[in-house]
Amino acid sequence: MQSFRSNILNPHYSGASGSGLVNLMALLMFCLLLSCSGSNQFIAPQPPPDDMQNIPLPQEREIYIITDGFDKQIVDKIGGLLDFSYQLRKLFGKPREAANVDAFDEVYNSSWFTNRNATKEMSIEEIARGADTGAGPDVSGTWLIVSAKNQGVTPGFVIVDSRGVGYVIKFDPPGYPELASGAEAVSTKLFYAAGYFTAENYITVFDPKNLVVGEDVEITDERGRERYMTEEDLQVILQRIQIGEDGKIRALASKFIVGEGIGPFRYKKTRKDDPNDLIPHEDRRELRGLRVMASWLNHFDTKANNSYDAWVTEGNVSFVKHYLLDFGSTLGSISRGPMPYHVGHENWVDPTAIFRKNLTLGLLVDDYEKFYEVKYPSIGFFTPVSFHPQKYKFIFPNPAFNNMTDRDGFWGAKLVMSFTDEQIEAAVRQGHYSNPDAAAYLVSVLKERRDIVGRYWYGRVNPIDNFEVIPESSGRQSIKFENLAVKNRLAGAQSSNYRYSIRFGDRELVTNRETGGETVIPLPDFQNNSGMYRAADAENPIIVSIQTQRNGGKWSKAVKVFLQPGINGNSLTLLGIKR
Amino acid sequence: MLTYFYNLSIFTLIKNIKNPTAISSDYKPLYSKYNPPVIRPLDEDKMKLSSKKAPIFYLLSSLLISLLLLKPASAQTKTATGISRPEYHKINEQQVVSQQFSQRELWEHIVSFPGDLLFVPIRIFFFGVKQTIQFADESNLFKKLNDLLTADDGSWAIMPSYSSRTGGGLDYFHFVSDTLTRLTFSVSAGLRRRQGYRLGYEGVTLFEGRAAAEFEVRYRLYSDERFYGIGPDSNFDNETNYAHEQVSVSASVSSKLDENISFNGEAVVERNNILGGRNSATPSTTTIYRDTGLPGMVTGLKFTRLNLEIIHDYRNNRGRTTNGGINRVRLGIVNEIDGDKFGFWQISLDTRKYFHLFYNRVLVVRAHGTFTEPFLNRSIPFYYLSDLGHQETIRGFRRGRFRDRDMAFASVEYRFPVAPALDSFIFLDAGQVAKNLVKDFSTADLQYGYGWGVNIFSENRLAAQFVIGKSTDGFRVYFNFNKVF
Repeated sequence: MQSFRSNILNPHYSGASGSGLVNLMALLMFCLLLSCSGSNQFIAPQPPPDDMQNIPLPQEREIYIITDGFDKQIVDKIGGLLDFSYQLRKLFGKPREAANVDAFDEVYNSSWFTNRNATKEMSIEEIARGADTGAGPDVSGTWLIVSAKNQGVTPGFVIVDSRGVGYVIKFDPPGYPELASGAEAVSTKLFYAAGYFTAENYITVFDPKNLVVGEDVEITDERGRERYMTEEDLQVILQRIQIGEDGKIRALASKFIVGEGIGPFRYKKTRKDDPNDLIPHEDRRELRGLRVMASWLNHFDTKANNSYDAWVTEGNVSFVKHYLLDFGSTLGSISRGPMPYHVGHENWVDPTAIFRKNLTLGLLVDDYEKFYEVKYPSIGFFTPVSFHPQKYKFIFPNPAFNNMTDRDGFWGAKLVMSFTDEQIEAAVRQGHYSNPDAAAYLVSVLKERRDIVGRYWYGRVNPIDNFEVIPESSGRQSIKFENLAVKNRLAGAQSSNYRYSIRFGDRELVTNRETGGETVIPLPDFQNNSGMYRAADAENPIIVSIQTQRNGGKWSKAVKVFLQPGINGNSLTLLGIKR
Repeated sequence: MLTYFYNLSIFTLIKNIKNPTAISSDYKPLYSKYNPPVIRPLDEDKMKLSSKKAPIFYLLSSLLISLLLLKPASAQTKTATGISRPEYHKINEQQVVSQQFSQRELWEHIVSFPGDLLFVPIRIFFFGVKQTIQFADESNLFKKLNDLLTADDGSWAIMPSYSSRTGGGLDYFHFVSDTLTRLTFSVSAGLRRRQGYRLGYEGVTLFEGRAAAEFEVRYRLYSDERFYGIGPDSNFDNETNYAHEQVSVSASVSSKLDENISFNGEAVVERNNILGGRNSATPSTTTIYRDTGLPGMVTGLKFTRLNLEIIHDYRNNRGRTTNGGINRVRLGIVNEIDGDKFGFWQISLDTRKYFHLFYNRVLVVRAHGTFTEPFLNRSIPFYYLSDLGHQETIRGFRRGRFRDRDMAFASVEYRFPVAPALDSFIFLDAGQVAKNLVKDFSTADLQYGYGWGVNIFSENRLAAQFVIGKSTDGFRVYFNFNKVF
């Protein structure tokens, strides 16, 4: 490599073929390899600028679902094929990593994401509360209908309760009580706890007699005409809603998001009229990693239109905050009924699947076709069988999800694995399922799918994390780390082994020394060799490479831990890691 | 699918509440808390990476990064920063190198340039397509069209239709009062002045709802019918064409004998004209067969027809059938009015069985036989002979490809789901015509057709069908929309 590099940097080098094009290509290949190749120096990612700075109100926009699907399914695919740099990266297995990670491969708190359960375990009460700031709409007073959706299988309202607070009211599909409302309530809690911004969603039971149609409320009827809503329209809508024996209706009340709604966000590029939005969305770690969370929760419907940008004011600063919305099509629900069998395995219109099935004449029965069973109408179709977190497919191909690298997937898996059994149970309790067996089933599926996510990603990426430099009694220092697979009981501590190498400059201080399952690695004697090690810095750091072995199998790729002297100069401190 | 997408989105709901004027004035103050707050003056220093300047920043950064990559590593500069970090990292200082947030680095821009260039016309094309789709979606074009074609109270509606034989058309329904009785009027037209008009009065209840009657007046001009000769050995190269004009008046009664069995009876009076073909690509039948005495090749031939039919329908689903079947027995008697030259009876037997194989894969087996026999030494008009070679029989042949008194065919179709609202199928059809099928049946005379097709469903109803059939005559493509049988 070195000689090749010398050659191409030599202006007199003509290349073996003498072709200028070949030289250019060679140069570009070299750039790719060089830019992606391993290095002994530590280059910390630049922290992204604070994206919660004061900005003027961006323009509201809409994204049309059909054209968005058309874009994702056809236009983007052709564009991707013609994106030669993307293809080249794919060919060399050097995908572009997320642009907003820190030195420890974590994301910063931003207008998109707040580190919550994965960094500090939330209490059961916090999980149950989620984003909620109150108790939901006041069911004792009247609800003024200010907007209504009377089309489709499940109608909906927008109401203002007697306290003057606005809510979107969504109902369960006929024949499937608690299905969509339960799924949305549970998923909201889990997405919020993971770190995403969500609306406040409440399960509510109200008396339809309290509904009052507001003046000049426009509805779009099934023929696409807009007209004012009447009491008769309300009665027609109510006839399509399952009413309990006590005459009351269970629904999901989604509180208005405070701020000025400016439409959904896209999963690619940036919003031009938001000066805070500098990182292409497909390169945002939290959106790439969302793929893992979404696959866990069967959030098939992760299209742009199920997101929401709000121009909010916090303190004296107004900025755009990015929300995930509409979790009615998660878990076992697709809002209008149970999830169809193909969800998660095929895009809604999946040309690849259609071609494959035609080619094989449908004779090859996919596993996911075999296990379709709705055990509980309130849960729908939600199963751990044939669930694969990496192969999971969404309604449309998603640019951010498509860009997900192993590092992004590992980060996403950490979000998923951060949920304890008790936390999952607490979230499911928020679904207010009347059948305890149904709730227990949902809990068990969530746990199983969580562990499938963990087993996959912690098997694919070296699962050591949470590095700390700790002082030893001898005065020396050690690196302590955690094996997340062991921590989450997916692997036994006894069956895990580690080996490490320590390198400083050109010198290999320790080579492939095994710890025998210990997760503490002694560092070089810094104090007695401070003269030598004090020269360490980001350009020339001390590097500890740690590999993991499970059950005597293959050694994983190494996680490199970079160290340099701290501010006081007497001890080593962490610079960052590289997976 | 449109409905599905529409149902999934609550965004449409939310957008409706953004306009406070749509809310009662009494409640407007309630929304004051959602009013935009006062905007602080912008901090110029913090706005350095404004959207306008960002592209220049990206480009310069890309250039810088690429140059740095080609320099020795030691030439890279680092700056210590006191950035705010998430709580979970207890690091006092951080050394960083300038990094750009653009999608591509400079070398990637260079490598991707040819592909980007190639993508420009594609993008423009798809932009046009998307704008069209968006316009249709945004303007609720289809819904409004549906509104335009449907009465507010559902009393009348107009439905577009298309089939390979009749061409495109419109069906008008007008319900009479609150009953299921309706007046219908259909118009269809196609190439070569192919046209059809039908006025019907349907769903007239009789015997306290135990039976329903239907009356119909119809005019049809099939201007491009094909005739290849009579018998199983008719030759494709002998193709001629003719126009068949028919006016008919009919009355029918149907009754459901039980849940699965129904009876239909029909009486028809009709007048037929066989005219010269309109398709100049092949000779006219009236010219070629003028002196051969081909029965029925005249104008003004009037008939009475009486049809009796019993249907046993036990399909589990009328649209996307996966189990069950349907059997039909039909007896027809046709007699010439004002003459004794033509007269015959015809019996048709048809059975179709759906076998659910596994996981919604369905095997459809069909057998059909039509037997025609003249009575009192009369003749059968050539256009009333049994025929093979259209979508309902052997797919892959032209309509009327084989004609004779008797006809039988069998069909095996294997259907499999390929998407939520899409089934594909492959089929094999085989059959033959003969003067007397019982006596003359020969496997050597069997004709075959095979092919592939797609059924498109809407709300579990078969909405459209696309079929490609192959036979010894070549390929035939069929497309039906709202006219699928």
